[in-house]
Amino acid sequence: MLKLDSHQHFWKYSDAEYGWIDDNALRRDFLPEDLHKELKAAGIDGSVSVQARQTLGETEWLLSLAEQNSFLKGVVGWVPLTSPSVEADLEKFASRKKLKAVRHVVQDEKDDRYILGDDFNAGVSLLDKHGLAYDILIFEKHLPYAIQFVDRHPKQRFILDHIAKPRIRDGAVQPWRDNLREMAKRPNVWCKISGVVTEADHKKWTEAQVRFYIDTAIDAFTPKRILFGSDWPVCLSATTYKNWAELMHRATKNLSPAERDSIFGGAAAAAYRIEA
Amino acid sequence: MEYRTLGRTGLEVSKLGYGGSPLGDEFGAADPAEGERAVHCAIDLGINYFDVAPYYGRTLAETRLGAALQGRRDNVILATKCGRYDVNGFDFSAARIRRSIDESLARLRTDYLDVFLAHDIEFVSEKQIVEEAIPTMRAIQREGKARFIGITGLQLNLLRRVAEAVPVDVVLSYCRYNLLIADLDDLLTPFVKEHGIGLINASPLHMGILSASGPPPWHPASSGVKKAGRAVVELCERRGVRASDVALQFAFAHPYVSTTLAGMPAVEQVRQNAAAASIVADETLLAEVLALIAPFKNRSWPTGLPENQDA
Repeated sequence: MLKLDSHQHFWKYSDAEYGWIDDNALRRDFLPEDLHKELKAAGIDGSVSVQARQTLGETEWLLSLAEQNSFLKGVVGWVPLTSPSVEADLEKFASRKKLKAVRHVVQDEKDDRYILGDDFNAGVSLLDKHGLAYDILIFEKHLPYAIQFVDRHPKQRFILDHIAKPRIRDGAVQPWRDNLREMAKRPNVWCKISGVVTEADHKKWTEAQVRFYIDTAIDAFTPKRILFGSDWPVCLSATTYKNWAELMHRATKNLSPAERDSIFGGAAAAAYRIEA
Repeated sequence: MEYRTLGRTGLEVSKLGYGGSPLGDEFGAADPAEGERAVHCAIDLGINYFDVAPYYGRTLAETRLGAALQGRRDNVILATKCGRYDVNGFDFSAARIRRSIDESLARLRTDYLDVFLAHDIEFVSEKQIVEEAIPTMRAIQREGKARFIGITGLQLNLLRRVAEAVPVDVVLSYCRYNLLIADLDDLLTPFVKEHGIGLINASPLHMGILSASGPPPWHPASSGVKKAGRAVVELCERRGVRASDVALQFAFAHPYVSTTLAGMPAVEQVRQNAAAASIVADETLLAEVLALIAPFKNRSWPTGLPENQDA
């Protein structure tokens, strides 16, 4: 069984393109050779690279990295889903086998109901026939809309990023928990346990504090539809790759070997159709 | 209201917490409607930590608190307990704890607790707490029914031994840190601080001894302690100050305790205590009070099994 990190980013840092990065430690280049060391140290075989910029150039760049590095098993790219040209853009990537999904940074859209927009949904409705999944990047407040969105696309594979970013910093559980459980009833939705500690206080978070959220996600989606992810290098604001991976190993140590295999690779392979 | 971090739980709790035992008529019959108003007032004034137990009023307190919190559950950090169900009714078996939390969740009208505590652990064997109760509570936590777990009791050495033997997130101590007694810091505080265990202090009035109306008839303290408490109340009255305010302010000044639980089944008590939380005690009066009770300071009483006693 291939061990996979379902969520990491790369960038060549520039203020103009990555202005949202507010941690000085992250304002440098993060490239495949950096990740490879982390994966090796954590005993992970490969990863899925996720877009950070919303351009076709980002998708092209991540694909080129993946095509040059066999341990990069897939790419979650970006295409202009609301644009009439999206079908043509998807056609252009048709031969790029490492493109597994697309994502839009819905969490940063001003309109909380952006995910329900007609143009956006028209774009998403094209993904399945191109063999692509869709990564849902939202805050917990968007979950009710994301549930309605998912219900419009019952055959589409969806991957919910970062357990939908609960307000761990505020100690809040609800309505995140009820909404997450509702979302988990949809069998075409997977959930990434990634980035969790960056939703807590970066300096003061504790394992006890984040475990409840992790346990809730595993319980809701079951290990079959839970994907381990690092959110490296964003995670470095609050932890190290090794610490996060170890925390996730502790959080799953009471599960069966098959369940752990699913979380650490099997579910990602199924959700993104990654072949061994 | 000031908020403090409850150890490694990361929960930000109000320094004045709502003690739910009076809602179960433990300190005399409480008016349920007034109790509900008091709970709402507490939330409005920024109190976010609510503590109750199935033992209080033999489930009555949980039932009343659950009703009062309806529609407001998400605004509070909610704690209840397990293992104690009557004056002499203890059951820390795995099966009972599992049934207990489900019953408590139903009475409290929620599907999870923030904090789940083994209640008055000195009444049963240390072995059962360490080997059966805590592991069961950890399993319940993993199932998403409780965010954090811990232990409560009067016997501090036992609380420390158990927390050494098996990790807990929170320890609740009562009647061991207030104007009349402060040996909490000798026996427990350094240990829980070192391990990042959240520390909750209950009974800042020493279960009513420092209240204007005095202790309930079942109060186990010696008559000397009760008389010293009465003298403190009278001294404060002569100075035009409520002894309960001074007692709360003494407790709030603790450097590690995150929240101090006070019973307040009436709106006026909530208002008084919340107001006391924003003022520092008068140092001269505090020194007089401490001098007055000095001969009776640091006297606890036996509870539970002989082998679990502190001294």
